[in-house]
Amino acid sequence: MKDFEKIDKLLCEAISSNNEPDEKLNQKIINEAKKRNRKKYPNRKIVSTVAIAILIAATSISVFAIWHLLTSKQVAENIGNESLSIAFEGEDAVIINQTQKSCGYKVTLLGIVSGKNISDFESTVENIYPGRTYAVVAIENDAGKPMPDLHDEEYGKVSFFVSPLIKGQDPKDFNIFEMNGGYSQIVKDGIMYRIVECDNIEVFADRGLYLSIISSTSYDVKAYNFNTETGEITRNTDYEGVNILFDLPIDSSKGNYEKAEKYLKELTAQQTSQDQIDIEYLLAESTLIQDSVQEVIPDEKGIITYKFDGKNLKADINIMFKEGQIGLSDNYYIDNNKILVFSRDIEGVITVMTYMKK
Amino acid sequence: MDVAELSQLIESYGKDVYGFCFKLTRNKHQADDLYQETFLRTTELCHKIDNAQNPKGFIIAIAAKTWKNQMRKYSWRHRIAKMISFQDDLHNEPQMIETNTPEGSTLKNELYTIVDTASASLNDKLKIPLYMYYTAELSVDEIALVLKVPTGTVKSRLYKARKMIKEYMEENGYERF
Repeated sequence: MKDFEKIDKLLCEAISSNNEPDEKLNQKIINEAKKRNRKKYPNRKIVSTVAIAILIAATSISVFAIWHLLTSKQVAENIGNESLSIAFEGEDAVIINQTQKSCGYKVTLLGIVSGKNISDFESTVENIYPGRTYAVVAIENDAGKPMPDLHDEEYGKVSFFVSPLIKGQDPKDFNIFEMNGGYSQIVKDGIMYRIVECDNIEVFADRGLYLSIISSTSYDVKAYNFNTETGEITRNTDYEGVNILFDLPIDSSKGNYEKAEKYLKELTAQQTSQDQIDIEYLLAESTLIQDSVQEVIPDEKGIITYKFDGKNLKADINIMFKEGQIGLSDNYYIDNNKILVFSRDIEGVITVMTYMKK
Repeated sequence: MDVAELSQLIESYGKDVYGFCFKLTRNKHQADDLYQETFLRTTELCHKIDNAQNPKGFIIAIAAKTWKNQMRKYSWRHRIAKMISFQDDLHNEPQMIETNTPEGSTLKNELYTIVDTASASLNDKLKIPLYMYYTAELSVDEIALVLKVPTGTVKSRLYKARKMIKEYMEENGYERF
């Protein structure tokens, strides 16, 4: 049996789950759903009327609009993001509708919007960087061949990397990967629509912003030229593949030099420290729970067990500490109230302790 | 969605959805909460379920999204120690590492434990498609659909997850892998 088959078979057996929901839990869900349904009844008619109104509006657009593409708002609706579709109707949204062609593909930048809590799909980083930017592009085959949809075997064979870029910042260091980005995508009537999102980039509006589209799974340094003196980013015309570059027409008055610099510093720090939190600083600001301090002895596999305050923790000490590492381990556990840390002294004695956050 | 439709969904997919929730949370109480929240959210988004296509994938996707949001809500700071089990309730001993392994426990059980432990240490990007594939038994195409990524990306994440698990096992003396 080949290695792949072995591990595949093993995974099938080892991580399949035998856990089942108990009947009481299922009944609890059904009861809760019944309760919620009762509350919804009075609104049912209104919802239906609104739904019909939306349907009429959408039909009217498709009949009368010359534009053959969905609007940014419609793309958000099709992806199931109602809040974002509303944001694309708002004053802060910018309708762009610019098209560029490259290497057999036609890409239209439909629109862009930025703001706090404007999407139904919350980003995990929004509590760190409040506010996100959303840009919508349509990608078509220039010869009119439909783009493969999700069920098509061809789907994903040509990948596109869509990323905002900042004038003055090397795109290999600052692109959507670093800017906590992501995307949602649909294919409708043979046209691929993608909503890309990242941290709010409006703070860079006074410097200049771009939107790049490359036929690649990640940023390709060969696709664009970065002028280190002027900070300009331009297309590499010799690039073999799609390498489109739009200027993002965000109101330059939204730029904020200080905030932008702070953000860049944070991103740079993250890149260099790999998201390290200053644990010693955090501990200095917290109170050690004396009763929580325990010396632990690893078992023959290197597993330590720590029980405190109704919690049971197990950890592989070989992973917690590098060979010869003394002091606090690089791994620790933080929740809303407590910090749990591991320490090893010169004799190899391992101590686990819990701090209460102030 | 009426109660009969919800019951039907629970009956058809409840076990797979619960298994997926349990793998993500590794704690019965949290798994129960996630499972309940997932089905209640499903009733709100029922207009988006395409029964002919992939209702299980749709529900699993809701579970994954709810899980990610809960992680954010509880402000866990992504520095949870690797290879760790953390239980809020001592009465729910983790499956991941058996504290009272019977003397006669087989090598196979140890093997399963180490694979399970290794899978738990992966980041969400790799762990979620891995559990979708092996625990919830979604196909690569279904995972691509629910995660809204190309099938190639799913394949590559599964490949990476297997590779990391394999490496972990080799580091722990299972050289035949």
